[in-house]
Amino acid sequence: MKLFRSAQLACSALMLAFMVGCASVGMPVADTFNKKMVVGYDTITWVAESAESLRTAGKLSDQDRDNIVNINAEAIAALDLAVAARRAACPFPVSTCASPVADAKLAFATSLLQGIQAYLNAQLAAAGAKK
Amino acid sequence: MSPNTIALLELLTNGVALASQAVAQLTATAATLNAAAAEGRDISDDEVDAHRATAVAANAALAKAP
Repeated sequence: MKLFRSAQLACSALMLAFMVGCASVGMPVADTFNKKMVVGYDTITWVAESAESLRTAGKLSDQDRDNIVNINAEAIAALDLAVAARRAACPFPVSTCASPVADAKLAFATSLLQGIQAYLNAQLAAAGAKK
Repeated sequence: MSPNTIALLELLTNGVALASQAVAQLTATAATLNAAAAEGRDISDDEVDAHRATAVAANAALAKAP
């Protein structure tokens, strides 16, 4: 079972890295704020669905599940703040409208998603240490 | 079939399932971005809101997963 857990966590970490770094695997470049928002929200969807699959397969503990749910919720909240800041600064949707505050909140949301990757990597390392 | 072989098969099966799921999600995201690009427009606020709703629903489903 430890083998499965380690492998699943490794898989999750790699897939998350795959998703976060989607620009490098053929994904169209998210070159506007709204495109970045879509990629951000879709990343959360993918993390949640992947974690649910692991959960269904009995490969994700209650604590791991709860941690991922909480980080996802924080990432959603951060993206929501970015969207709100953007829409306040740019009431008329124009791709070239700049909003440093929104960009900063988007960067924070991205860091949370990278935090999930770090979390999964840490879990993987812990599982390996227990062998 | 040895336990190790069964373990390996299960590992590969789960890995493939996750990879397929990732590719499906990437494909869906790419389709959204490509559709907008093909029409020479940006993603609309309504589309952003729709993707947000999907993310919230997926996270809620994970929270309730038995």
